Amino acid sequence: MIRLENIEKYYQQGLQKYYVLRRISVDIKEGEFVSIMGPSGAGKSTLLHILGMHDSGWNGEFYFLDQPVHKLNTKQRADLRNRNIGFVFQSYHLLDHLTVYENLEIPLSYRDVKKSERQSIVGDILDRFQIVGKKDLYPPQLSGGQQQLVGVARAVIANPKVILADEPTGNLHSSQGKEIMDLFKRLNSEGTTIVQVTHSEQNAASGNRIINLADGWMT
Amino acid sequence: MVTVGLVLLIACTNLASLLLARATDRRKEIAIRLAIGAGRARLIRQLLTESILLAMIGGVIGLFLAMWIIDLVVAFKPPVDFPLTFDLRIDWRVMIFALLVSALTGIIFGLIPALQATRPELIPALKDETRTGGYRRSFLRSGLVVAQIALSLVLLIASGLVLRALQQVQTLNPGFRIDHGLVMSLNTALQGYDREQGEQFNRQLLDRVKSLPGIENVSYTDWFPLTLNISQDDIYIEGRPAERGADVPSSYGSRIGPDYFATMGTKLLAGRDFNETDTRDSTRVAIVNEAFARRFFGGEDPVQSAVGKRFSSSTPDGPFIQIVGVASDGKYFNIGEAPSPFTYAPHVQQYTNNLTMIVRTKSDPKMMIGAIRGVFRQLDPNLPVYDVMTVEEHMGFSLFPARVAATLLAAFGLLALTLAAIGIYGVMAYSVSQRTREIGVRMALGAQQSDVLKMLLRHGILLAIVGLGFGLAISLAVTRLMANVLYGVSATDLIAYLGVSLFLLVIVLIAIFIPARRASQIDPMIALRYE
Repeated sequence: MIRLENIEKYYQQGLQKYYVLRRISVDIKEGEFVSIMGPSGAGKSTLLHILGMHDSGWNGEFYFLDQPVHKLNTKQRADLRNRNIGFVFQSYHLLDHLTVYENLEIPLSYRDVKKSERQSIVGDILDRFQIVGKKDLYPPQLSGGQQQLVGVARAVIANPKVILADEPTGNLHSSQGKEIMDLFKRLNSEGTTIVQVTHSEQNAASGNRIINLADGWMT
Repeated sequence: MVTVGLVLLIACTNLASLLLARATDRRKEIAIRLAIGAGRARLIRQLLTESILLAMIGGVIGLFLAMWIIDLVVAFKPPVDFPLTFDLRIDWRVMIFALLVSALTGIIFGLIPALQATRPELIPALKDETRTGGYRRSFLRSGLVVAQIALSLVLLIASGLVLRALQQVQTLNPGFRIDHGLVMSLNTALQGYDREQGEQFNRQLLDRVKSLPGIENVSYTDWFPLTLNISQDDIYIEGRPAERGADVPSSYGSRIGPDYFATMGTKLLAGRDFNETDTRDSTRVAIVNEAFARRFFGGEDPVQSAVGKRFSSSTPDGPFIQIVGVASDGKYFNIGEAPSPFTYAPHVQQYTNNLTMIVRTKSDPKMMIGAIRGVFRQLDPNLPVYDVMTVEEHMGFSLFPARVAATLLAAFGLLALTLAAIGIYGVMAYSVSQRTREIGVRMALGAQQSDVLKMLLRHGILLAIVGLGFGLAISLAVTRLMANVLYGVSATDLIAYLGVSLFLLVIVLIAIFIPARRASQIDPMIALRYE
């Protein structure tokens, strides 16, 4: 499903090149639950953003569902991303001036889903995540765990094939973190491929493969 | 004064926006100070000191700019026929006033941001959760943008109206030909001529100038239209009961030489021109204008009925002057005036020394100045000839007040526009920077650059429309007060209102578009890390 071949990323400072990622080659199959681990500054989040096609300043080959991402232009990448990838962030990144309902609606609005259809999809997801009662609340009115629940719901609402999660439990206490991991496991068992960046061995254990990074290299 | 006040207000809204933005940026610092025990009053004092200092620095720079501009104004010579100097000096009173206004501005427009800044929700501010709780501030900032747009629109519409009036005025018919005309002044009394000598000089002058090649016609008058220095005469119509005191009607008038109407290009509508039968000793005659005929004779055909009537300009009992002709109306004092009664008398019957010679040329009038001066030298090399100018240049003088008003208003309008554009750009850039994380989130969730651009533009355009709405409402109320200086243009002139509104809208859109476009090109990865 995802194939990276010799992916490298660096920042140029004067004549010096500072490498963030070195010769990363990874193959992720459909239905896998992969955890990327490593110390701070190892390049985990950078790798995740490359997988998420947010970052385009890299060298190497990247195939997503057999499509050569390295040959696609910005718009083609955005289309591919919008159709197949959902994101979960460490600090939730919900929009505070929008209600839970409106936050969930955002990805659909950018995929040109009709208003009536959006209503039923958001209704379904609220039901599935058991947050119907919170739909009119604003993010600051929710606990961290509830906010991340909405974050995950927002990631899956457009029915992506892959969820990329950047330290999804980083801001949560352990019981809230466990709930999110259980949720990921359930989504994975339903067929969604999951790639998460985590510092937690316990969370990594929820998945079926670990990719370790250190100083930009795969170890 | 109002204009200057409006410009100051726009500058002040910029200052307030700037201080609000700074206060938001310093939220954490202020929260830390409050958390470690600083009193609110003390913090307000600190912030106010900063805003006053900022305003005072602005005031001092303004004073230096004023000194430079004053030099420019003093160097300017208005087109008037008497020496006019502007006594503009920056003395201690001006300095104190400027610094007081600056300090007051700093206090008034620094107070609200200071009050807002010292009321943060401590915990989120200390955690640097800048994304929450900023809506009151952003509402205030939006309000300031709306105010700036509205005030700029008022100033721009005012200057637009004056410019339109100036444009209209230039198309108004002054009642005489402007092209190919030359005027020059002479006073035979300066050479000690008596009436006989003066009349002889004038006759010779006209004959010789007229015989020059390239001259179409020549005449003279003791008063050329659209200049100063003219007095009114009372008018008593023969056979009508006389009014008393202030109720006595009056008319302006001038004394003219032969061929005056032909030279000026003013039409005679009825009766005859003055001719050689009108002498010093013949019946005293006059030609009046249409407005005179309408004012005093009315009826179905006042122009025709005026001919042959008699009036006196001294007493109800005469001596009476017979009207022999009626000329078309013209402009006498300012180009925008309504038609007013005017009389012309033959110079031969009402002699004066001080004259303006009018020459109608066949080609460029300036080319004829040398030859005409040659005639003067032949007749009397010592007689001074002054105020030599083309009729077009003379018209420049009559439009001078309107041009000054238009230039000043346009300058203030442009200053206001520049200030507002900078202010709007600043506020938009700031509010966009506050939304960097949101933009990143939206892009990560699938928003295209165009979606982000549309979202940011929508907000800016909404502010622009509200600002324009307020500005139009205020302009409608304010410009009514300007009606008396708007020659030939309504205070609600649609072209000025629409043109200026569209112009301002375009400028505002550019000020909104630049930061919005920059934000839409943001790297979502960087935006997501932005806190």
